Amino acid sequence: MKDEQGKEKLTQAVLENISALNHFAYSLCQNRSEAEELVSETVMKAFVNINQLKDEGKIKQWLFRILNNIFLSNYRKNKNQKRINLNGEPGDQYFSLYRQISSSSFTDTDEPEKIFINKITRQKIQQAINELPEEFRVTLILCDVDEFSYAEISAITRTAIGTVRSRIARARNLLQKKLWLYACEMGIHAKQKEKDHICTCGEEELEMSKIITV
Amino acid sequence: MKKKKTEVKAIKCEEAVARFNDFLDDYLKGKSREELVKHISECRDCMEKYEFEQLLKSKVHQLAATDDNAMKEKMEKLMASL
Repeated sequence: MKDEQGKEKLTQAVLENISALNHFAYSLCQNRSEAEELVSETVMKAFVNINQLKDEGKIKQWLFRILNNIFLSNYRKNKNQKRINLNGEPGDQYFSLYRQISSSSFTDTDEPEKIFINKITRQKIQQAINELPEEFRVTLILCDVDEFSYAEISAITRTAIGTVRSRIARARNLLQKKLWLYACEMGIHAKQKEKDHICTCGEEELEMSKIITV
Repeated sequence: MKKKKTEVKAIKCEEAVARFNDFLDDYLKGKSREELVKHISECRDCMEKYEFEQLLKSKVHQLAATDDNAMKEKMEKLMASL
């Protein structure tokens, strides 16, 4: 993209996406001032490298990729953190928060799961996401919060689409485990196999002791 | 010649649940999608489970940042100086 025309488009794209970039930066750094610094660095780098942007339709994706790259090279605290085993971990089996809540003792109402969804706060969801391993957190936010496609997430994080897909599935699974702990704090408790499992899928209900915190 | 319409295969709850994420993100296509739609329309438990997944996804989406005017102003200044 030519410099002058590019800078105008870039200014517009930055202003349109500044809140999303800032939220993404905060989800990565988990620190407000670092997040702001990271966004500023991203914008500066984007301006310097504007001629490298080939497709202006991908300007938002490009900004997120720059931000993610700067985070990985300059901001990540623990560069030697444990890598996630993509083949799965013990205790990584499918967990259904719906199953847990709908068969819980919180049954004054016919739809405890809907009550839970209405009651769970934005802060609690953000907190649960913040506790996810970095790869899962980043992928989940790009997918569910910023609504990027799998292909776009793959380009932003430089990972294969299959990996993106697997991370999203595992991130949602882990998020549901975390949220189940909050559900318990809200007074929803697992019933001891009182309700018959209507579904024929053979899925086992998870006892509290089996919930693995990450 | 008209193509003969093949019957949609029945799948188990376990297989249906395994396809939820792709379906949620609109990545499930063709026969896999048809099989899941058929299963969900016939299995109340999976239908409710899927609806919950949808609700949870939209709840997560609500984390999307609202307009941050202070940050916007800072960036406007920064960009004007570049």
